[in-house]
Amino acid sequence: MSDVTLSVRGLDAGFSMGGSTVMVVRDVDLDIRKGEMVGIIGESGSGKTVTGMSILRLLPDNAVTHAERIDFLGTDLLGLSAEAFRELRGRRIAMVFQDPVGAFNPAKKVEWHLKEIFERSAAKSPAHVDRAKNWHGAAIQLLKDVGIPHGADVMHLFPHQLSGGMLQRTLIAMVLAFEPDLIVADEPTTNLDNIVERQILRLFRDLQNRLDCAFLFITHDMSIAHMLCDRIAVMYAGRIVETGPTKQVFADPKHPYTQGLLASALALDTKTERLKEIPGELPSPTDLPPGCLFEPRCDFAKPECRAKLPAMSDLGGGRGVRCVLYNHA
Amino acid sequence: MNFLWYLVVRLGGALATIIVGSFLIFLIMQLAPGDPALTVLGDAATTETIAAFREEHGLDQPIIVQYAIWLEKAIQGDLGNSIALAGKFPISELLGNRLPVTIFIGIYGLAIALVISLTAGTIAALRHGKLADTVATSIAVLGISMPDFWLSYVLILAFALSFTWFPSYGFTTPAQDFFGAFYSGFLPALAIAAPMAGVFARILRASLLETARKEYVTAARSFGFAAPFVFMHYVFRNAIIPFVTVVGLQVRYLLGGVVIIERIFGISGMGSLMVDAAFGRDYPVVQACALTFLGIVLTVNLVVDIACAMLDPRRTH
Amino acid sequence: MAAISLKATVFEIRRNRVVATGLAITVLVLFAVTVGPSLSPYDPTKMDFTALLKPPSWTHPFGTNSFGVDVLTRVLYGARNSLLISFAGVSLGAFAGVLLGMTCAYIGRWVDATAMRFVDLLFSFPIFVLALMLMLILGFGVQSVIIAIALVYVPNFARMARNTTMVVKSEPYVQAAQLMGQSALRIMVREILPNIAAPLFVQFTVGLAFGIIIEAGLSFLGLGVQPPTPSLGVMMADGKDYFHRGPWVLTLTGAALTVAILGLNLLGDGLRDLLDPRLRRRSAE
Repeated sequence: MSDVTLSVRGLDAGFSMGGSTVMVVRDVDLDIRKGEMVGIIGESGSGKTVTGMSILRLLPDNAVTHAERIDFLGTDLLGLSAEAFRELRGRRIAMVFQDPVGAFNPAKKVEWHLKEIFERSAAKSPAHVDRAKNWHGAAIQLLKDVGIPHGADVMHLFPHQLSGGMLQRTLIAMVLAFEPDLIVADEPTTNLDNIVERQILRLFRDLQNRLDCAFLFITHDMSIAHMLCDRIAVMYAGRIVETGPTKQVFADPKHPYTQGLLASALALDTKTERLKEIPGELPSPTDLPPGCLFEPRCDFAKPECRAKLPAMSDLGGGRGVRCVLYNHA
Repeated sequence: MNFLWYLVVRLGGALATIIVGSFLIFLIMQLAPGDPALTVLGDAATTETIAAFREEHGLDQPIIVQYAIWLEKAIQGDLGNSIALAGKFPISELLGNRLPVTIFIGIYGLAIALVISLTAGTIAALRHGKLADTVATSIAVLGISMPDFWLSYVLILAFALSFTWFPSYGFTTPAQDFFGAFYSGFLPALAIAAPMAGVFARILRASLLETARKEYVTAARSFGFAAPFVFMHYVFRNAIIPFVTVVGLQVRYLLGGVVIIERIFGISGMGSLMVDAAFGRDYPVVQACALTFLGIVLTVNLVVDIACAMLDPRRTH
Repeated sequence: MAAISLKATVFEIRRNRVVATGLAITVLVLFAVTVGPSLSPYDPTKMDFTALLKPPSWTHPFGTNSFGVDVLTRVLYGARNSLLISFAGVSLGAFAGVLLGMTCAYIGRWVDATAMRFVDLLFSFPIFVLALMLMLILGFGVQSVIIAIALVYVPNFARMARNTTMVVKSEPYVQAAQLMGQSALRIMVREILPNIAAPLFVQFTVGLAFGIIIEAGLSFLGLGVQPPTPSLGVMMADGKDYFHRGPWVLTLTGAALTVAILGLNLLGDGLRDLLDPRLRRRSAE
């Protein structure tokens, strides 16, 4: 486990308002190795975005987070001051956002964005200082790398003059300019149309092959996770319910929720007449069921499920599941 | 739409507005009761002198002809003569004396309002929910609720009568004494500024808070940019656009305040000219003043629109 | 997502306090102007030559004016008039403006374009300049002030009603009513108006506040309400004549005016955010 880029243990995150605190992420463990892409999969409201944002400390001021341990390349992130953490952001851990249109400063041209990024990345090494001096050429090369051949023209445009796909490529180029060790991508293709989505996903796969950076890919889409991720963690109502290598989880899903997700994704894929949906809906973080979070919607629910939250069972081979069905160990 | 084209369209619109506006003003003044001839000539008027007066001032022509004549002269810079002032005093000369004074006081007040509101609004937004925010927001709402003419007297009472720091009456024009103008104009400018500063500070605070929640601000933070950089280039830079728009919209309130405050402080500007003319039923002067005020508002709106277009690339590109 | 709703809740609580303060002040002011005059031991017109221009004291909290009349009593009577005048003016302006705005939004095309240019034109006049010209046509007095306030507010209400109607017009329930063949008038009154009422109500509250300022300003200049009718503006105009000898008449009358306006402004502010947080965006130009 020496090549682990990010290791998270017991991460809780929530929001405090008017004296009360509502936790939306609980007890999340996560390991991402160098060169690996780990996917967090969940419905909207499952806490997957909050998980990603809390790792980067980008949650709003009223957020409450604590963790047993967050280790990033040997650095204890929990021990870092706000200023030290800011220094790390971008340069070491960077983020790709869901809405590329909203991620750009509307008042500034694309070139301004790139120039500032290169200037900020200059502190990394003397080579980066040189690159920052000749940022224009480096920027054009970088844009070419992410599939924008006419970068020089794009640089003179304002963000609103570019399509969502172009902006997402540009944003990825900006993130790459930092040469970070970890890239967190929060549903980076959800706001794009189908064809562009596919192009961007292909770009992510290229990057994964080309760079030895670690990726945390947050998505609600099982097929995207299948296409890109080495390992996945399935989140439900703020907790990880199943985790393991992508291929194995897809071949043999253990948790009833994962099974349901896969069944509905497959149903969509093969255009089956009837869609096998999971009945019911995600519980509200203020009104969680007493035992297993999925129990109210589960086909296999037993009385004991209601008694207490099942612990994560280690199934071996890097697989884990939070369900009483596998709790015999 | 490129910037030049935007300018042309906007300029054309302003020109059309002032022409329609001038006709409206002209029409309103025609509706005003009282025969100016009688007002001026008084009891001594005879049928002959009235007829002579009407002919001299073109009052015997149909309205549209009167308007056309007036407009033609106005374009040439001749706004007619004051009927009340003895000796056919040309209105253009009157305006030439009065307008710079009002513009000085207006800009002075606006500048004070901008300084106060930029400071208070920014502090309130940065200290959102804290004591400083509550204090700033409360003072702002109080500022909006104070009639400026009342505030003028409170200021006079406080800073001219109790503490004799500033004069309570009279104004030295910038032409007479540049620094004296700032000194003697301070209290009136402050009275005009206070309600505006309240409006401005509130909109700036709201705009800053709303912008701070935008995703691009989170993105900027994710790049590790320092907080002052993010605030200046992302938050403030974008929040300033609605702020400038509101500043432009407030000019009509600003000039409204000037009308009253000039009289309180005995400032010979456009406002006191117009009120005096209204009392004296000196319609040509009222008309010229109204047109000038309309012109000022339209000019400021034009400038503000251009400023916004330059600040917000989405409007012109 | 949870974060946003939680934030909204706290926002609401904070706003509630604003509404409560505004409401308390407004109710207090309304109580003072309705019941107050009958509680006062003084007569608002009776002169007392033994107590000319007395500074504030326990017997005369706001002092007396140059005729020895109790200023507080006059403020109560005057404020009642000022409020009524503002209310009448803003109501008239709101009625005409909403009618104009809704009609424009409903008919659209050149009617809309022309009327809105006219509204823009009205918007370009400094408020007191517009009011002043109007006073010249109509003569000085209460009715003229009411019409002047109304005219100031027609463009505000017209623009707001138009923009909100535009949004509501394309809602399914309005289109359904159109398909059912209901008359335009019926749709406007029954379907559209209730759905755009909230922002208009807020505008009305804030308008009431500024209406009082317009009345006071015009009367202060001597162009509005004429003495002996008491109004806050008339009283302040009176007070300015002997400001150096008895500053309390003008300052305390104005202070009462400020409190009334403050109450309405707070109420309007709080309601604006309470009724509908999206409202500001909807009514934005």
